[in-house]
Amino acid sequence: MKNSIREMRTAAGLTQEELGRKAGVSRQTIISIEGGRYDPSLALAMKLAGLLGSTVENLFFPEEE
Amino acid sequence: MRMKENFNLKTYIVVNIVLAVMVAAFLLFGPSLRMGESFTAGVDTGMVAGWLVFTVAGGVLLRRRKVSFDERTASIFGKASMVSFWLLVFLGSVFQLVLRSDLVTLSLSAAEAMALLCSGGLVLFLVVLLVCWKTS
Repeated sequence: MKNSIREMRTAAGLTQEELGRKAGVSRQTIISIEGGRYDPSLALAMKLAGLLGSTVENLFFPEEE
Repeated sequence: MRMKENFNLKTYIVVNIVLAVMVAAFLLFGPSLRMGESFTAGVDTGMVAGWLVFTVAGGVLLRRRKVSFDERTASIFGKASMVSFWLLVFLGSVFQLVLRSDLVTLSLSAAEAMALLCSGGLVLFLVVLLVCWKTS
């Protein structure tokens, strides 16, 4: 699963640490999600989307798209 | 995230008490199960070793505030547990075939086999955990 979290996060002026703290996860988790090595749960995906002012379908998309 | 919320000092103490009761119960009533002295001793050693590992590792993790038990950590621990369990079952089944084979002369007491199982499982879990941590 690909995502645009890095772009959205930098556009929002947030660091990985800040986004992680707001979402209740570690910085390492944000790094893994941004790198595409970890797919978050629906609850975390919705939380991230809310924090970045976006929707889950705008934030995450399948590899083939 | 649920694991992060749940694993706190209270959980640590409660789990320690449960483990202590389990170990004490087995130490007291284990011999009356008549499973053999060496087997009982092996199980005792394994249980006490497991309890010690939880106490030390749990204490270290509670003190290290930078380590966050979020959903990724929980997923890594779950994956490592599952993989190491089935690997241990597989290795155990291969090992018992080797033990019963006429081609290989290898004999182990029940206590030695139990200690090997416990320490082997623990090492396997740590190795798999490390691999999972690096790859996810």
